[in-house]
Amino acid sequence: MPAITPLATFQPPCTARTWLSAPHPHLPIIATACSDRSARVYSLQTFQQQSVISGGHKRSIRSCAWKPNSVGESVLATGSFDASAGIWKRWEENAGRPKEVDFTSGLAGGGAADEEEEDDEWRFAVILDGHESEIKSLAFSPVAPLLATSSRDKSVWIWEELDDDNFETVAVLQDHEGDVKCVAWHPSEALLASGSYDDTIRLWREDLDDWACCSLLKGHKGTVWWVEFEGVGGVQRLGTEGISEEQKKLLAEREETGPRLLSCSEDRSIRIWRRIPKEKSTSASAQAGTPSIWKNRDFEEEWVEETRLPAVHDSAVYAVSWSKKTGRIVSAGSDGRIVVYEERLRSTAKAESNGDTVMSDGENGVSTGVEDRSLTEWVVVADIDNSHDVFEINHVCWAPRADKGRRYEGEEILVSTGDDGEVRAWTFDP
Amino acid sequence: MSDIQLYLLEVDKDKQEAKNIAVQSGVKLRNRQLKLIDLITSLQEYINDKDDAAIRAKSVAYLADVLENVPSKVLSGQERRLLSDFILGRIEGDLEGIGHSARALIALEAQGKWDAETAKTVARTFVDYANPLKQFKLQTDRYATIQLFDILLSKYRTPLKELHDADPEFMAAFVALFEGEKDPRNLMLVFSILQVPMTEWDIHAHAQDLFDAVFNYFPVTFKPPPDDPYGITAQDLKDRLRDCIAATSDFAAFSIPALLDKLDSSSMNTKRDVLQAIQACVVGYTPNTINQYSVPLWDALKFEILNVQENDLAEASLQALALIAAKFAENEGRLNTFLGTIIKECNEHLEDAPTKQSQAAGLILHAVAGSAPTVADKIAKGVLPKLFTLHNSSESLAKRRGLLEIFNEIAKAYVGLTLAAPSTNIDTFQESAAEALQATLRAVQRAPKSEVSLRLTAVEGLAFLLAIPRLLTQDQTYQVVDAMTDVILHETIQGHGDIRPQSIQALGEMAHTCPAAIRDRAIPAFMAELPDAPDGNYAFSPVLEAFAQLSAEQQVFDTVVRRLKNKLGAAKHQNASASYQRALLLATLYAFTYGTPVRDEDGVIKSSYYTEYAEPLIRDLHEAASVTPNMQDTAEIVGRICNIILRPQGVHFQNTIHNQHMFWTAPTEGHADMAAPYLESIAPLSLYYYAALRPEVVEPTEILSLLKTLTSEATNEKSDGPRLHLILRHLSLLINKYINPKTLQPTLEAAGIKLDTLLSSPTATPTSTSLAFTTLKALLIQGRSPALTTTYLQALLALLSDPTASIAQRFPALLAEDDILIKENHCLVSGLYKQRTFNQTVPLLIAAVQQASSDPQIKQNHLIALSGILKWLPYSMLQPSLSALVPPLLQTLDLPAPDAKAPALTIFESVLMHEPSLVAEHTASLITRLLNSTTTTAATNTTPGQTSVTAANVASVRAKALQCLTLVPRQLKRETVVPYRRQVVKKLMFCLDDGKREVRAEAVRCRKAWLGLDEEEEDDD
Amino acid sequence: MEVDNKDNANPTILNPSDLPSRRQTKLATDKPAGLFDSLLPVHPLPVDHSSLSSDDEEDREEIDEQEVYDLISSISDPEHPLSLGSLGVITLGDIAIAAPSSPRSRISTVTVLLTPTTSACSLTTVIGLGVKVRLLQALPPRFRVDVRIKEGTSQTADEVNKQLADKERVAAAMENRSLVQVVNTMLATCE
Repeated sequence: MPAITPLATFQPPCTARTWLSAPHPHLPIIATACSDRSARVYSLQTFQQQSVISGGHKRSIRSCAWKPNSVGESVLATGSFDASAGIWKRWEENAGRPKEVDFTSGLAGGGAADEEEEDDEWRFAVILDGHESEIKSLAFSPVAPLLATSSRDKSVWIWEELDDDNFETVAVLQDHEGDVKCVAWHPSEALLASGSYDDTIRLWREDLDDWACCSLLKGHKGTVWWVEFEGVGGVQRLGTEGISEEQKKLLAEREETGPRLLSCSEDRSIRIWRRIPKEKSTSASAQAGTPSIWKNRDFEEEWVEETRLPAVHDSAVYAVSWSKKTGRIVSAGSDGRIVVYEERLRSTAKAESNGDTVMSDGENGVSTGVEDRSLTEWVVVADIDNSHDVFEINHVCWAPRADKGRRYEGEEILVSTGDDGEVRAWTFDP
Repeated sequence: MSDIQLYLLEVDKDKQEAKNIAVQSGVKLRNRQLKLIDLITSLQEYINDKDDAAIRAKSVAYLADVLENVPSKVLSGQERRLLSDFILGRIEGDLEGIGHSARALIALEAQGKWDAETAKTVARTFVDYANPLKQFKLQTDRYATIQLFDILLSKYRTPLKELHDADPEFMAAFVALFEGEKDPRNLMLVFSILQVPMTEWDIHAHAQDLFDAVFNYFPVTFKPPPDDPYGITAQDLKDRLRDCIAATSDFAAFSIPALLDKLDSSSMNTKRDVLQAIQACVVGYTPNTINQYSVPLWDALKFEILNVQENDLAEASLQALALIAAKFAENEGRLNTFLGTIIKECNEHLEDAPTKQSQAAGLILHAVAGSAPTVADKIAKGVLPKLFTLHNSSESLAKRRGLLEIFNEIAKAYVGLTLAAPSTNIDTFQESAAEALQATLRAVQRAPKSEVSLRLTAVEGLAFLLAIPRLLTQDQTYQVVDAMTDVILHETIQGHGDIRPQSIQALGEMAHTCPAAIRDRAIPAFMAELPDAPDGNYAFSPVLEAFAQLSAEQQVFDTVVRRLKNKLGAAKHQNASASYQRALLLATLYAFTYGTPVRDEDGVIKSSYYTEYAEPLIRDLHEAASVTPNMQDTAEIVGRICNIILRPQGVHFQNTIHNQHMFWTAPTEGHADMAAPYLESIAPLSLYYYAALRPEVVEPTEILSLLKTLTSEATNEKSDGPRLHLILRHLSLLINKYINPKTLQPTLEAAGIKLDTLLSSPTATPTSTSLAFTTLKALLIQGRSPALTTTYLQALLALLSDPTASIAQRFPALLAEDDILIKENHCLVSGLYKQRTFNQTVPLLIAAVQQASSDPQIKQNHLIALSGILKWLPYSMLQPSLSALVPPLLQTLDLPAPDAKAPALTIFESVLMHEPSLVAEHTASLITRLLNSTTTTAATNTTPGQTSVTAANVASVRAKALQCLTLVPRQLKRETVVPYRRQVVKKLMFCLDDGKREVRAEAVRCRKAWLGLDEEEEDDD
Repeated sequence: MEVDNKDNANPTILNPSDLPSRRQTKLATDKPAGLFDSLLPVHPLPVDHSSLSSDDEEDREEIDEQEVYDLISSISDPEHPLSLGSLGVITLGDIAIAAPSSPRSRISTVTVLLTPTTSACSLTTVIGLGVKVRLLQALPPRFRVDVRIKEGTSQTADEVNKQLADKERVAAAMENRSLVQVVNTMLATCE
């Protein structure tokens, strides 16, 4: 029976709400965005605090992100309610070295410790100003030197890192009608997704040399709290052993459409969106069509809701994470529950065996036509309640396991971040 | 060298020396060693020094000093005139040393009164030549001159007035003289100077100048310097300035508009000053003047009331309105116009009652009506009919309530008026009485019970109606009383809808305003309601409690207690349940304890109550106890009744009682077998009886035998329970009150109380230990045998170091409140006994705690004993030793002993409030321990040096700990507490879920206080 | 004048005695303390263990609607020096506490419906924020706080509700000093 089991709580916990934790692209560490205006770096090997980055922001740090494939030097971006984003750097020599943490320090210890911890290593490189109000989310593109930030001012900014510590604004995207709560980059294309207080998701691409919205995804009935793309090559994981013809067709189609998009919302639902590949036939009409149409057709993309995950959350879902390794999804939110889902090919046998767990909820279940012809099904494989005592969970994600207890190469753990100021690690047993 | 030369040499170096020289000159003048003329001539050269102004000034100073110090009678009137002419002459040519000139003149005036002409010349000269004073930079220069004018205007009003009458220009110049004065001390004088012409002269033509001269200073924003030698406060200035503004109606044209304009200020303080000034003007100006401005005044004041910003502003505005109304009270015409508007607008607000503004309307009507009967009548005539038409035509109960509230305001005004002048004519109000009565009665009797506010308003209204003499007919009065009684007797609503408490209170007020009606109607109704022998499920307590409360009114007290007595008699006769008889007894005790019994001329409760009530009760008890055991409960109630009546009585009366009525010390004849149980039954009576007697009433021999009996009973008593406790209280009474300190030890010995043995043996039985504590307590409080007391106290402390002796918990008993050992019971209560005990125990205990750190058990004993002592000591007594007390008290918070924790927390609460600095250095450990004291589950806390386990804390401790913790961020320096903020705030979340509501409430307050910390933090960055 | 720019210069005021209070509701449950009880004080025995008794902890007083009401009814209206309770913005009937949805969950929900003094009350959001913040600070974390505008009492209801439900916005608002000051003045009247 698959299960989620507590592994550790990162020490010392923050004394105020923590918002989000991001695993480092290659080092065994995570960075946690804290409302005490600091970002804390914890070791995944010892679950101890390594350093505290503070002093850069005047208000809560809401979000943070690591620059991918950075060499020899770690780069962390922090987005704060003070409307600015900060870029911090540290050489990687002793990265991952567990640092001594002073337990004996009394009540005030946390505070005192912070001061000492605020050490040599982390350098404040540059501050990105421009947003009118709180920054809610930021993300580095894995394929281009681009950083996206989003804010309550309803805009998404795209910054290009020219040379060291020099960022230039390449786009200010203002189509959203409410706070932009989250941004996420496509793993292999320069395609950006953003979710908003206006209940919609927008996709953005560069059109000629101009960034613009290439798709609008409607459907959620509440604020979209998180969006995330599927990893590359998610398809193979389903395996191709003894599957029907039409299933083969589906997989082929998947290959073509590429990574799917995952979103969760205040409306408690978790949805998966899929790109509709362009029909060949369009070329015919293209010749006849006016340039504009021709251009638009080429630029605009059609995304549809492919399916919804089983509705098991009692209230707002604040975070979902899609494992690049296993293709499993984990979700968490206001109800303090952590849930792991798995996608399976819908074979008749399976369909029966899991019939009950699949889309049990009619309302959320088969509302979109796509559901019927989908040949896969998402099933809840494990969940756990009160994972942060009675507190809300603001973020959850998959991270590589690095502590002594690691059981096999590439084992993944779950990292949850809560209102209680605690960041917790969980093992998942398939 | 001449004196002047010497003076000039000294004056800059040594003022005092210079003065002495001047004094000397004065003496010389008297002894004729120096002629005035020579003195003047000696001055000439300096006082006229062309090139050195300073010298000139100093010379004048010399002259002034001489004149101030020359003995009276030395200078002849002529010489004085000469001198003043000389000085005034100088002023015309040279203003140097103007202040000294003024001083000189003041000195001269002091030597002999001026004639009118001199006064005029003096005034004129300054007005003409020294004008304006602001040209003189020296405050002292101006001060002296202003003083001079102060004298002129207090002693020479007529001549100065003549100046003004004779010369239309004078006033302008006079005002100009003081223009621009800034110094507060000078201003005080200027204001009172200017007030004279304002009030006494015809200054109509100059009204504006004069007014501006003072109003420029309005509003006064002066803040006295911390070290102001003259101690002039802003209030002093405000008061004088206000008197000026209100001095004459001629100002009205300028003052009222100006004030009303300033009333729109956004500063609350300005508004306050304005409203006070307006009140003063209304009082000061003529009715006619006020009349011209009544409309703008009304509009402005009304606004302040309808849109309350600060309650005191609304209050002041209401007073102002009342004053205006009072001003017009005698003038029909003005009154009608003024009240016309008010009534009209208030009536409009009646329409949409109950609203913020209808409430305000009520306040206005009350304030205005209260100013005079004539006004009240017009209000009543103008408002009440309309009010009741609306009331009767409205179906909305909320609206009716709103209207009745307004009626109550008007009625309240009449209550006030008739209270001040009982003969006040109330015919006009009476016209609405019937309607009012009907409306209020209807609300009380027929409105749904859930309409609490409506019914309460009506109840209040009824009380008012009865409080106005002659307003209601007897029948109407009866109706009201019946209605109240009915609610009290027959409404049994629990929770929301219960208006009995207010009704009982109202009935109490009615008992005061019309006792007869209460006697005729209410009391009989109560008696009819109370059965002689209720059946099991009849709830008599509510009725009895309400009835007993009537005893608060002296006019019905006797009736109440007599009826209770009769009812008790009937109950006995009918063999009513014990609980019922007990309740009736308690009701009687309540009446004598909290009621208002009749007293004799010396203020002593009538002795006849004893024979009438106490004695029969004792007799009944005696008979009952002779046949049935276990009457202690009844005995205590009877004892207390007997005690409360008997103890204030004189020796003579007590003697008679004591000699005649000791029959109850043994059971009635034929029940000798009952002796033991009987005595046990009446023991409480005996206790309270002896507590009531004056020492001289009882024979020593009697005391000794009593002591013996009690001591042996105590030592034979096995259980450390209530019975023993009663005996011990009796013993402590006898020891404290009746034993002569001189013969103390032998008497105790004789009685069988051997303290040293009791105290020396650590293995003492609980009983003997209790006996020891009791005796010691009696002696401590008495304070007449210090030596002995000390010895015993030390012995007691020594026992604490014996881990096996568990006496620490008993220490609270030593100083605990005691309702027997009090002055009222003629006990010897030393004023110093707490201080003594403190001195003899606390330092030793503190020391012991420090040493005992080796053995936790012994340490704990001392800590518990310490807090047991401290528990009863006033904070002021601890103050000197606090710094030494804080560490042990912190350790007390680690003990698994709630009884010890509570006092410690109480002390920390006071320390945090009064001397936070004392705990500042312990901030960390204090916060930790306080937090530990808020937990329900046992918690381990690690602090440098020691680890200890805190047992689960009881609710009261948790609450108190939170109260202390709330004070920490408020009382300690920000920087010392801010580092703990987040942790505390986080930990407190758990207290928010405490099992007890009161604790949660404290937790909320506490958390609010800590969360409040960081706004300041924000402000910093 | 100042009065003119208020949305509602002359609100209807409820009488304090009509406002629900613990004292009143308490009598309903507990037996009222007798008037005569104080006459016969229980004399503490030399060694008094009464306060040690653990029965003190046995009966837990659960957080109920009245308690929530007491926490927020004393908040004062930013427009008038009056409490939200006496203005009828907050009524006991519009407070609901929902027990945990499943036996597995320990999370209860408090729902508070606000009735603005006028349908056009521009300060509705601020009032809502004040109530939300007060409850977040005063209730234990096992409670989820849901503050919303009562159906059909305000044009801006949906907008306001969505804002108040957004924890991120509330959190950010509480870091905005000017807003914090407004809220603090509202909460200053809370005991």
